[in-house]
Amino acid sequence: MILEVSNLRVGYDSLQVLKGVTINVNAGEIVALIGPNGSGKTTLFKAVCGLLRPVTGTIRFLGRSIEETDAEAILREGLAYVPQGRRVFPSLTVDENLDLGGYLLRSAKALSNRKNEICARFPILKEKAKNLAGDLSGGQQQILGIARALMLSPRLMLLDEPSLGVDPRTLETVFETVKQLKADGVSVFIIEQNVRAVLAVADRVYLLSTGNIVAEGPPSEIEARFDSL
Amino acid sequence: MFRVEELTKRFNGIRALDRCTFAVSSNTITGIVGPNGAGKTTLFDVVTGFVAADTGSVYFRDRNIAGLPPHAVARLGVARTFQLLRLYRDLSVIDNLLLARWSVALPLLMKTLMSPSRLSSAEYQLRSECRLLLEQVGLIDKFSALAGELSYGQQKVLEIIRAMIANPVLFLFDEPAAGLDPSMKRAVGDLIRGLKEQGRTVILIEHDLGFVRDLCDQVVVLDQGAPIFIGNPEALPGDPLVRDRYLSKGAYL
Repeated sequence: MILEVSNLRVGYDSLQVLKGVTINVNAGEIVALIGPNGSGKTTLFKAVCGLLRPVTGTIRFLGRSIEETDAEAILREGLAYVPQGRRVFPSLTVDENLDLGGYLLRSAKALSNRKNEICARFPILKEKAKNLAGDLSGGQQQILGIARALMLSPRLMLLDEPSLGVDPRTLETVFETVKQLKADGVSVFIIEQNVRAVLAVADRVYLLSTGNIVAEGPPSEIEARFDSL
Repeated sequence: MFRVEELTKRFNGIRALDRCTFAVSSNTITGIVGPNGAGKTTLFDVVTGFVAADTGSVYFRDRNIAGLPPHAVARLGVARTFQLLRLYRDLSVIDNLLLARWSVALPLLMKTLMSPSRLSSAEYQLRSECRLLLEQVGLIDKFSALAGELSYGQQKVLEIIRAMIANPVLFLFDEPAAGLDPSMKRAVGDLIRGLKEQGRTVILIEHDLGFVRDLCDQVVVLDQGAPIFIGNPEALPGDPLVRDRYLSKGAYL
C-alpha cells in the first residue's frame, strides 16, 4: 500500500473539517475523491502532503509515518501535490517553472532530460517555453502545474481538481496523462468535480461529505450515490 | 445593448484578441466558449477596463467604453467575476457582500451617511437581500465566517453573489460553474436564469457545455482571438469548424 490514512482529524481553529477519515491508495491505483464543495477534500490533501498538521490520526506513505514530516521532505520521498487553482509562478517563464519543479534533480543533464520527456507529453509547453507563465491561458497554466509536479518523477501524485478551467480537448489530455501515469506505475489520488470524467479513469472512489467518508467503492456504485447528494 | 467591434490586443507578440466582433442583445444570456488561450478572459479584461485594447471599440448602451478605467465601467453597471478569486479573505462573508454594494453606490452612501436612521434601514434591507441570496446557494450558515475559510467552490459562489449585490445591468461571469458540485452548479444556474428574468444581461465564459446549453440564448466560440461561430447552442455540435477546432472526441463531454 502506498498511502494509508487512518482516523484523521484536521481542523482550523474552532472549525473541525475532517472528522476521522480513513482512506488508502494502493500502488499503481487511480483513486478519486469526490464530494460537495466544503466537504474537506482539499484539507485532506493538504494534511497528506504536510501543509496542515492533523489533530489526531496517522498518515503513512510507503509504510512510513509522515504526519510529523515537513512538506519538503515528503516531496523528496516521492509524493507530489498539484494544488487547486494553478499556482504557477506568473513572472517566470514556462521553462523556469519546470526547472523549479525539478530543483532536487542533481545534474543539469538529468534536469534537461526530464524536461524533454515532459515537453514531449505536453507539446504546448515546448511551444511556450520562453513565455511568462502569467501570459498563458488558465488551462495552459493548469497543464504547467501538472507538468511541474511530474519533474521529480513522483510515486504518488495528488491532483486537486485538474479539470478546473480547461477546455474539452485539454481535459482529454489531462485524463490521458492520468492514465499514462498509472501505466508508468505512478499512483494518482485525484479530487474532481467533473465526476463523469474522473469516474471514467478511476479504479476506486471515495465520497466525502462534511468531513466523513460516506461511501467507498468502484466508480459504477458511487456515481449513483453522488447524484443523489 | 452591448457589442465589441474589431477588438485587438497583443501580448508580447501573441495576438490574444484579433479583430473580435460580436453583439449581445439586452436581457439575454450569452456563453463564450473556446479552447484555452483563445482570448476569452482577455476579452473580459478589455471590456471591464483592466487591460487596454490596442484597437477596436466596446459599446455598452451605445456608448464607447473602451479605455475607461475599471471603476468607471463598474459605475456604469457592468460587474464581473474572476477565474481566480478576488475576495477580501480576512473579512466575513457578509462584509464582502456589503462592500460590493457600497463601493459602486457612492451617492447612495453619501446620502445615507447624512442620516443615520436611513443608513440603518438601508443596511438592514441590504443585509436581508444578502441573507436571501446566501440561502439560495446554501451558504447561509457561513454568514459570519471569514471568506478565506470557505472552500474554493464556496468562495466562487460568494463571488457570484457579490457581483449580484453590486446590482449591475450587465454581468460578466468567468467560468461560474467550474469547480462546483452538482447541487451548487444547479443553484448558480438558477441564479443566472433569475437575472435574466429580472431583465439583466449576462455574458459568461464556460467550458461546461451542458451548463451553456441549458442556460444560454446565444453562444460565441472564440478561437485565436476571434469568433468562429455565433449562434444557437443547439447548433454548436453540428458545426464542422467548431468540431475541428474545439470539441473533443466526446469521451469527456
